[in-house]
Amino acid sequence: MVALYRRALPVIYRYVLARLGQPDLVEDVVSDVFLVMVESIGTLRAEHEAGFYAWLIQIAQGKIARVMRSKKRGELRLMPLTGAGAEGEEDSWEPTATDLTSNPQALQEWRETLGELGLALGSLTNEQQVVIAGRFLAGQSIEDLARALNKQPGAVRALQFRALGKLADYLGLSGNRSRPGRKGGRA
Amino acid sequence: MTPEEYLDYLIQQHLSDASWQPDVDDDDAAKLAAAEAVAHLNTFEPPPSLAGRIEARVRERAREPQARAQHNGHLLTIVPEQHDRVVSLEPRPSTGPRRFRVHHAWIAALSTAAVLVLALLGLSTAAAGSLPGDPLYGIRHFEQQMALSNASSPDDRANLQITQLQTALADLQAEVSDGRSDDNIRQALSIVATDTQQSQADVAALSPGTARDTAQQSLATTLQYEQSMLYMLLARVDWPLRLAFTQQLGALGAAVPTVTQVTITSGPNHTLILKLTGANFAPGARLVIDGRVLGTVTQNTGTTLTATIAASNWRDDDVAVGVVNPDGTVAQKMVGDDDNQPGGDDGGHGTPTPGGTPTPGSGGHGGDDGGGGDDGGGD
Repeated sequence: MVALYRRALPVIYRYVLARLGQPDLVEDVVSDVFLVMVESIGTLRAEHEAGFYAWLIQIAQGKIARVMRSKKRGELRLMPLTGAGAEGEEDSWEPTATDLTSNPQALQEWRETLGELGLALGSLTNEQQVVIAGRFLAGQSIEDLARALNKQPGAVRALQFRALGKLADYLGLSGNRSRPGRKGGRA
Repeated sequence: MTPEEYLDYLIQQHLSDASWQPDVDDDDAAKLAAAEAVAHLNTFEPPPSLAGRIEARVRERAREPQARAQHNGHLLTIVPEQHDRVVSLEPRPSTGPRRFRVHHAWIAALSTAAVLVLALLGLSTAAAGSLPGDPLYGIRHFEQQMALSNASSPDDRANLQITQLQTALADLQAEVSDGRSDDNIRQALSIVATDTQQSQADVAALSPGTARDTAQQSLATTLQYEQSMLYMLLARVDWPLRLAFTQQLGALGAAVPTVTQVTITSGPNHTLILKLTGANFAPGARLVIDGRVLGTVTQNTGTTLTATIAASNWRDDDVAVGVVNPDGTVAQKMVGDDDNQPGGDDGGHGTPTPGGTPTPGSGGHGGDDGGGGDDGGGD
């Protein structure tokens, strides 16, 4: 369990970070997710690690939706990391990482990456998000995810295909003849 | 190969060799780039202190039984502003802006491993000592599930399941000894019942041979212990739990009482005569009304038990009529207010048996042994 938890924490952290962006909110949500895990894990019927991740991501989706609703009600001052969707609010995120603080350009790139990804991931269906997070953050195979989601592997590949297409569109990657590692990103 | 399969093939290749540069069309290249963008998140590490803070919150929650009782799925309220919190985002150095690097290992090595291990060992240790009903018990239960699913062979799984049954029995004993709530004890008993069934199924599914013989011997010893323990605990739990314990004993094959029918007639001198029909009424069995031993048993054949009570001890609404054997096992049947008028339609309503499984209703046999009494007893 310790090993499983050790692997799950960064997965959930990164997923929530991408969706919400604001680090202090991220911590609250991640904490909530693992509190729910502790109290509800007895109800989990998953017998594979992928099912465990899928369950946690679904819990996180519920918590994130709650934060988003609060944001809409104006109860929270949720500020995106990038100019996109910032609606004129001041960006207050100040990472403490020292390796990038000396490189403002690189730091800004990290912020933009997170912000764009968060918005792009938010455009996917919950099921697509589970597949994408499970595949690329938790490192689960298509077959593992198929078992976790009670689907055929082909159906999971189709979910992955559509989700990546949507992400590519949202991130402005479509239509560029370029290769992995050489993407120019959004024009 | 479908486009979906081809894309997955490209992803697999790229996962195994980040330097691999496929010659693909724009759409696939865009999708691969999107995958890289997501994978890029793996360069972000949780703050080293996050695990510690989560553990602290879990422990705090564990100390709030009242809050837990009120918990309805929304555990915590997001605190809108916590500016004093130290927050750290620590992306690893990038080779350049906007280059999404794919790493061979999608889950990066944890720089916070030491902190996480300490924090989680704390959780796991606490969970290991937890009992059914405790907040951390879910972790332990999940660990057990995972262990079963990871069993290397049917033999291993069967033996592990028997071991878990033994653990569940120890938990049940601890719950009763500690005077835990009925709900907690009931949960522990439910786990015992489930593990018992699963152990029997797993052993039965083994191929004939030495391993199966050994597992069967181990299971038989464990079930014998389970039966002895349940008998021992019967005297230490209240009536509703006795019903549940008795049901589990019945599931193990013990001769436990059952009540299938109750008839009520008026007796002399403001008394009522109750005749219970069922099975396994042991010599010395007593009548029980709503969980209390009452009346005088006048006849016991093993399948019928007749007893007399004062009419003043009867009431006109739903009444639980049952028996308790000298060994502590019990059974009861609900008699509804439409049925419990002496001399009227008797004993008819199915009622939860010890474990909550409705018995076949016995109703509609009015008059088989006392239908003539129509004196309106039961005042």
